[in-house]
Amino acid sequence: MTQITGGFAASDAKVEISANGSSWNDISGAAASVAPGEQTRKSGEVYTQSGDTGIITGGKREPLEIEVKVVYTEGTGDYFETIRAAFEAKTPYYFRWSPKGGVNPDFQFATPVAFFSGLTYPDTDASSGDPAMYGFKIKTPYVTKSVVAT
Amino acid sequence: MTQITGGFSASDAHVGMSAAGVTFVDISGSAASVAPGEQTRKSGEVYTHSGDTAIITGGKREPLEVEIKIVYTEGTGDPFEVIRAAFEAKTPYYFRWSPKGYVTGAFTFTSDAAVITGLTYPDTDAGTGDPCMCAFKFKTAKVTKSALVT
Repeated sequence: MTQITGGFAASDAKVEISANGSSWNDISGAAASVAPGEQTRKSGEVYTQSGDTGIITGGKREPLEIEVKVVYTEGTGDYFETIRAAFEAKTPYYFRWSPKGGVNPDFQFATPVAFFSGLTYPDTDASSGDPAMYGFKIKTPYVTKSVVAT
Repeated sequence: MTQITGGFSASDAHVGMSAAGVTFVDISGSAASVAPGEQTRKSGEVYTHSGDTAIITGGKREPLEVEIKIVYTEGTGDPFEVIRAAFEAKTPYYFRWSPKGYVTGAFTFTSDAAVITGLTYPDTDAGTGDPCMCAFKFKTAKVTKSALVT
């Protein structure tokens, strides 16, 4: 195979959250990274009296967690407060991201309704000039791939 | 022993996948790395009242997982979409890799029909210019070594 073309840096990705799955809030201007955990499929094996290797079967897909790191800000309506409140109240949210930037026909990956399963409060470091950051995790049973609509 | 010759970098390795195990689609131009986990053989031991060491016996070979990292691209028929669909549908695939490359006689390691047991969706990082990547794992009962026929 000749070297693939079409690779790109995901530095201009689009990242969004939604309370209802239809009206989306673009948090790309605050989000610094999206790190989806591996989604795994259950698998098992059994050995028989014959043969040297196992018989492998596949089960169901296991949930995955997606970690997002965000610039910490305290303005009215900024997303830290939205996410913190949703985390504390166990309010379900939808989450999606488009590595290429969220323009038709880019690919997009979306969760079904999911809970914030983790919140990392803003850290501090007196020896650093880096922006204060926070992070959150979404736990979802699956991710659906689609193409960004026009 | 005198110093060995014939060592090489596997940077030009060949990586292929196949639905039926006969005709392999070359994904080398998309694959960035192949990381096979260790395949282990079950073993056991017992101690007797005589002697200072154990009696060790060997059982069957355990399955292994192989992780492949690929460049994330969105073209029709690109490896990400093929692998994502196979992961979601639990479609078995055969995989093979030749560390030395697509050269007649190069050692080739081929899986059985294997379930894709893990898929890592593309991540994003606003602070890097690196290509957007994704990854998958397959689980196989064994790997068979052969000489590549081109």
